[in-house]
Amino acid sequence: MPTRRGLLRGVAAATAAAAALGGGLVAVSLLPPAHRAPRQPLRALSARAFSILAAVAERMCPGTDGLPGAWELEVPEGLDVLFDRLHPAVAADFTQALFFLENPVAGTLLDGRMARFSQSSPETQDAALQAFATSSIGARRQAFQAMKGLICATYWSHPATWAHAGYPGPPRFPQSDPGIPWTDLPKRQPPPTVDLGRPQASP
Amino acid sequence: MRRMEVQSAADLGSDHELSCDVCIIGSGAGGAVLAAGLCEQGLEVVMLEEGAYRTAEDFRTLSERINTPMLYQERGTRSTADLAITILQGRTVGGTTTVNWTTCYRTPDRILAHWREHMGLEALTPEEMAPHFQAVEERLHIERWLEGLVNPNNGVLARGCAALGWESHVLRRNVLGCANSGYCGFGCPFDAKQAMHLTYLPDAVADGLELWSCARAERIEVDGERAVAVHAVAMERDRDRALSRRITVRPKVVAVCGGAINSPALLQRSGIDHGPLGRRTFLHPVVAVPGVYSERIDPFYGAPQSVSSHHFIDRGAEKVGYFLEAAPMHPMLTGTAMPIVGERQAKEMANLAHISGLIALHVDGLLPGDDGGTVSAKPDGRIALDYPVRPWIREAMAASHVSLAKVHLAAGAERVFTMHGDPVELRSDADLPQLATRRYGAHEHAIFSAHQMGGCTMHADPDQGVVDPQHRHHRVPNLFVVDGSALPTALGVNPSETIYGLAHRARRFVGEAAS
Repeated sequence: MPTRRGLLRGVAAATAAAAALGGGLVAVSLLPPAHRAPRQPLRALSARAFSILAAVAERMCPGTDGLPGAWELEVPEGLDVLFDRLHPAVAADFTQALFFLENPVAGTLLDGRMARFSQSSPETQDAALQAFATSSIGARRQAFQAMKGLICATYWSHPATWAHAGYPGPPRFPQSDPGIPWTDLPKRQPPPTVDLGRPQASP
Repeated sequence: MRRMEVQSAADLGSDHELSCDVCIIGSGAGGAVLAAGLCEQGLEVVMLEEGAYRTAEDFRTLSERINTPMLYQERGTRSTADLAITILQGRTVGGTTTVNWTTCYRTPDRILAHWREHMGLEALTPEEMAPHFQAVEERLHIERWLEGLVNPNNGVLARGCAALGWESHVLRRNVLGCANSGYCGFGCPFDAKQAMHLTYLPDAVADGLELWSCARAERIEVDGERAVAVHAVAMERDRDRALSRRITVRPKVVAVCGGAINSPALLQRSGIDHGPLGRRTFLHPVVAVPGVYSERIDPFYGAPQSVSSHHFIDRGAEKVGYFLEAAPMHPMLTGTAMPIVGERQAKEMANLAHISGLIALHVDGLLPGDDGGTVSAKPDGRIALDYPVRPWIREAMAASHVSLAKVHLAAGAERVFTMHGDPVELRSDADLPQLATRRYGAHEHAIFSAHQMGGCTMHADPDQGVVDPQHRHHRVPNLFVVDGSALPTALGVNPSETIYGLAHRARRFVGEAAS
């Protein structure tokens, strides 16, 4: 997770600079994000953080033809469940990362993005994510890493994405017979024969 | 399916107090080997493990989504504080041995020589270590993997090295009856991997070990120069939340075996600051370069690691060496590692079955002044790992990218790409100069570590080490550190067998202190 101190420093600096330019942007930053309703009760994230997370996940993993997107696969809900299992400070740090991305003050100052992330167009959202990924500001790169790592992990671990990746899935074990001999199981993957080239040296 | 009796602190109805000869904190490579030896000596041993006890029955979901949070530190989210390096480390009975990729090497002679010359570890000769390695190799069935069972992902490394005239070899694994399925990192579903929860821990339990899972050691109490108690708290089985019940162990001797991140943090929380505690943390920082092939590679199937090249392990006195291996690429691990997102990522992921994932591991801690990273316990109970990727590591990463790309191209890859946010794509050797147009280091591309070492470094000089050459704490003589945190440098090989061997040797010292 990004260090909370680093994220707060980044957000505070952006907010202070915006205040110097005028109070309008600060007021915009206090508005709620585009609302996305969770499909199960939230355990660790606030409704505000969930809505931003949903918007980020949809752009990071939008899906393509035949590949469902992150919202369809309930990735935001999956992450909420994960956060509930982690140290409570992790969800707090992650929420700071989401708010940092959502913040229109920082967006305006650093990227020329006047709107909140969750209410921006898909193209603007993609540009904002790219700006975070390649930013010279460490807190922005950290926020991107935090979001990308957890969202992509939750998304690509979903069996509905495996066909797209050409992953046939693991061997299956009959729950009723945990003692099944292993020799009967990996039939879908016979040991391959590989040309190793010329004889190998020992270390 | 081999099971053993394990108590769970999560099930305690009230606080619990114990006394014993030795309290071992951590059940991984160090703690398990040590426990088996001490119990064989007839000592009363209590072991505390913060993770839960899981067996092949649990592993058989073979789901990254389920098994990763179940078996890894911080539910699979551990990383450096700046999030630049992903840390893979086990957290369950058996520790990382439950989820590692089974690669085993003895400590290289040149590393032992470095420790003798620079750390005063005169006793650590190949001859001294040989019987200990031999013993663990027999118990853990460590043998060279069969060439005919090398999977295509590792075959790429062998084939590419052969075409380039570079050294490579089939490596050794601690398996017995391996199904060659490729799911070592999920916990072996076949009980074939000879991990601690199937070998040394059941041996120890049969000889009287009292093993507590879901028991997190929070603090070692020291009175004067003696460790007098270990204070632990019960943890929920499926959540990183402490319960109200506590376990207090009052032993003659304490052995800290929590690994290179948790052990130094425990000593810090206990106020046992001495020497370079929490410093000189080494990671074998890893970079990955995938290659795309016309044929199916299926990098998710087959023994994860079976070939390695040490062609670049020694690059001279002023450069960091590196070694090459393959990494299994299941969808979650791959999707997480890719620095790109959105439709570009989905497009690349569609090639997964045709991708080979080769990695380079950089040998940190050997150059003068390379002090690696630091570990520090945070007030909220978490642990901060800081690891600056310094210029000499960045130079080696730039060089290893070229090496990995060359291997892929020599092995017949149609396309090679890097893990930069703006990836370099190569289709022939003529494209290799493009690699010099990118920067290397933290947040420039994906970096990982599955090998954490140091933090309670062993050194003969009390001012430069946390423990002495017999693993004994320099200031608290009935406190020992027997795990990867005692390693004075990185190894240049996968570290599990070094930890097994050192723990086997430490049995005598800890046993004598407790008798």
